[in-house]
Amino acid sequence: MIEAVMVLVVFFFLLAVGLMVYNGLAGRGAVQRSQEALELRGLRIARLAMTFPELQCSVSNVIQENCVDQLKASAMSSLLSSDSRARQYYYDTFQEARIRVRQVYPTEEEFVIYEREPAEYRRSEATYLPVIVYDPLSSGGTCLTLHGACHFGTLIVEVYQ
Amino acid sequence: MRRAQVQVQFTWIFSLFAGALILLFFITFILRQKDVSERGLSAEVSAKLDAVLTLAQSSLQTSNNVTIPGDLGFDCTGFVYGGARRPYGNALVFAPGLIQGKLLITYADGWDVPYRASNLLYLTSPRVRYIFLNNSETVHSLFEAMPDAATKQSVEWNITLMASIMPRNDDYVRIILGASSSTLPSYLPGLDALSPEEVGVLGVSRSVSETDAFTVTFYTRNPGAPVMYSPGEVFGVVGEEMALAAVYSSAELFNCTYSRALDHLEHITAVYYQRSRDLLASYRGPGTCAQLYGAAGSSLSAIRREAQRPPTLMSAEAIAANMTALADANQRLKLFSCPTVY
Amino acid sequence: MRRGQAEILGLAVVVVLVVIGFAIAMQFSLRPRDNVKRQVTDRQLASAMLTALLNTNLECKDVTLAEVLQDCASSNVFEYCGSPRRRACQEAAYVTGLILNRTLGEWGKDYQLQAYTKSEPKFNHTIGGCGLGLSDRESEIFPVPTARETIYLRLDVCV
Repeated sequence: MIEAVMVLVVFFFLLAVGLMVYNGLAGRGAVQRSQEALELRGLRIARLAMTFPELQCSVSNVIQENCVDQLKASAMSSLLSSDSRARQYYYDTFQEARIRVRQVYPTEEEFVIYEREPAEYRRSEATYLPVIVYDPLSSGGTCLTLHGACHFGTLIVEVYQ
Repeated sequence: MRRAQVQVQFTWIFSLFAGALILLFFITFILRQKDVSERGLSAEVSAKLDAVLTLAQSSLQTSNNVTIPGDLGFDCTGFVYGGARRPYGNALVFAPGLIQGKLLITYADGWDVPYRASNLLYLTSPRVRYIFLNNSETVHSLFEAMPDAATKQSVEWNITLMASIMPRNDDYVRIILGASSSTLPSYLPGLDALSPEEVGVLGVSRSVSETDAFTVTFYTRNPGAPVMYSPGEVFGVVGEEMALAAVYSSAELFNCTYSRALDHLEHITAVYYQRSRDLLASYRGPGTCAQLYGAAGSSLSAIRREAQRPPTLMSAEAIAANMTALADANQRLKLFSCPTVY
Repeated sequence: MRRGQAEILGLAVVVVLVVIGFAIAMQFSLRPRDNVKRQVTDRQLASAMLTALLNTNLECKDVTLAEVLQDCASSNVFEYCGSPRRRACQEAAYVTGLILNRTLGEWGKDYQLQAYTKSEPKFNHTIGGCGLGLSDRESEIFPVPTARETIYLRLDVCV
């Protein structure tokens, strides 16, 4: 009798330990997946921003890949800072994120395209994509097949969780 | 002896109780894990589908067949698989309300007004049938624009031929013909036995001014005999790509997605408008290009204004007319070697 | 062996099996998972950097860095920006160094950029160092052909 009870006690003890370990591992797995989801979201938004007609370089609808039009970036920045309807529209796409284009050569300049930082967040993840920043106002030159100049820049996307 | 007997009985009862408790614990655990696992799987499949659709959206004028694990539902807020919902985000998706079966056919095209406003994603399944009744050039053009992977057929405007069309165990049949805003008889009597949920009619007609504006009419079936279709929701749309979107889409989804498309058009036009003003402000050359930038700015301003209005044929025609003027100005800027507006 | 001893032995066997099972499960769970973002962006980072670099126009002249590298590989006589004016190889080294410093350098990534022809190296920039293994770096090489010989631009980004 006593042995049967002891066997059950040991069994339930092992079961409890096993459940605690399982919960611990599952929790750790959930944290890893959450981090992965954040990284993937940043990547997705960066890729999306690169294919936006609002930012892409184009001439007569012929798109130049990995290129951001400086005038469009500036216009987008001022549209989103002045028009609340536009801000709400793009929130459905980008949600809590910060998207900026930083030109590093020949001069250093930055355009904040979109910004919606939450009041509190546990972590953030930044994605950097090198891009050509096309300046159509630069006189007498050609950038790829476009009239203007190519500068070197980075598209920076920060997402929050 | 008596004590021994009681002990044996007690041991049996105790063993049964302990065994039942252990069994109950494990069954509960397994059922809970199964539920968590199913929800996790639905979410994972939805996320993967979302990635597939994002990729499909950027592969323009390419039809892809995607294997799907089960039925997909589409409504104004997103797509639903197995109880897990994913919002569309910025994607403009046109699809029937429900896609059943294992195969999803994707196709994407750019919506140019005349600059690229957005990419449109068309979704269907081989179990949805599209019958184009060739009573106008517009309908024929839409038939050609639809990818061959879709289950489509073009029928000459001939009473005998049309009467020979019979049901083929499709999930849904969409009939497309040149018509707008008038009650229609049943042109395909062979399909009269199908319920209103199984067959729908779309009328498409180009604007009389031959611009890039169309009227699309979603017809609803009148109950009772004889079988008749009354005009339901009517939209004025810009671009053949949007007329094609109406072919793929349910009336409800088209209504909300086209509204989102117009919102998007409004915002991207604002970007191009500001860009044209910056180009004008910095331009130092002869007056021709300056005039062209001014003309382009006016067209862009008009497009933006019309995009904020309800989607009627009049506003679609106004957008289409300004599209033509803008394209002309842009072409002339190119000829004069000035930076183009788009 | 008496009955009680047999039961205790059985219990001990069960405990040992359970402990071994946990050890195996933990070994799999604690293994570090591949970083998805690293797999996707770092693989393309070197390529995207070089593409953008080669198409960048100089600040003082309407030529691209690719054209400057072509000059560096062939005659190296033309003068470009700066005071005193830099020759082609110097200008290319200056511009690439500046850009990489303001990008990869600020992001905390180690890298190595080399420009070379088959006959001689032209210039290089190195920050930190990658490991010896192939998986320790993401590399891209872009050839820029000239009439005389091809100049190669190679970027290794350490991961």
